[in-house]
Amino acid sequence: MKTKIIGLIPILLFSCGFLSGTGQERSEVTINAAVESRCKIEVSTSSVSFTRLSPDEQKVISQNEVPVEITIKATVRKNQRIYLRIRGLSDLVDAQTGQKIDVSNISWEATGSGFRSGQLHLNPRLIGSWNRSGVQKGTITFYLQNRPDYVPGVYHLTVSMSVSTF
Amino acid sequence: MVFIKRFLFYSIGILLAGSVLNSYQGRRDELTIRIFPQSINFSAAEPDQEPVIAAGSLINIEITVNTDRRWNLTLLADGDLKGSRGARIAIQNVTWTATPSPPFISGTLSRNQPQILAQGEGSGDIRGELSFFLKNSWDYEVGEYSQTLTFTISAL
Repeated sequence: MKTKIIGLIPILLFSCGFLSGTGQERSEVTINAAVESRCKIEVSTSSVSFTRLSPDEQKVISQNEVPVEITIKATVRKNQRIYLRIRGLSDLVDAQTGQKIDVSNISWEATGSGFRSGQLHLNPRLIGSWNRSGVQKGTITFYLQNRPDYVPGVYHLTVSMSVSTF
Repeated sequence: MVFIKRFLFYSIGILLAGSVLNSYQGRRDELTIRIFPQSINFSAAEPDQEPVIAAGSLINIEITVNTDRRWNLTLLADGDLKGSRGARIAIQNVTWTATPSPPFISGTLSRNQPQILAQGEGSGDIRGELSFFLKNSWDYEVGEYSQTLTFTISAL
């Protein structure tokens, strides 16, 4: 019995050596990828409007349309911040009469992570900020303060939104 | 004492036979792989305009197989794509297409499990072309990324 067991050892060694003798060769390739800084804004509509009712009945007028959808897409460095700002390029102006309504009478309410509500101004106001790359989605709804001293007319105003990274 | 002598005699005999057979087998399993170029680059691109970025060049593979057994060629990434500031892009975002098929197989890179790139049986000289693609995303951090891929051809 002892002989048989000991005799098996070299046979096993032989078998293992035979079975494990597989050929193999390796080669390597390096892959490189460049990612550049970039950002853009997508806005669902290019205009909103307000229809004025009696100031006694309605202190604040909501835009007639559904909320404006805003999508911010940005690729930035680690820990770099993304800022979305909005500003009025002028007061609300009636082109025919020259009458004006101060831009600060327009405010907005925002929804979405990183977005914030505020009041329109001729200087840029922060509407959102984030600290990483990605796609950010939110909505804003504009409101007009309804004051009794507004002169009847048709008023227009252009607002500008900009994204920047720091 | 006689038992030990017999044991040693037969052991040495069997091991020598095994060694000779292994040497013979080693000559049979000649597997070589040549790859060029040995680096590929993905250029930066706007994710909406280019959701998938093709590498700037193809990878050419030449395999010489001299074996009676089955063989396979596997591809394994050493890790995720690594940026200079510690940023990473998951290596699963890199895919390849391979021609001719068979024996080559298209697939997705992995850093854990070698992926089969080609397989077959018997001897021959085989040439193939690989096109690599990177899934583009706004989520990536700005930077220069790189990683090493290891191609391994084995007789099974």
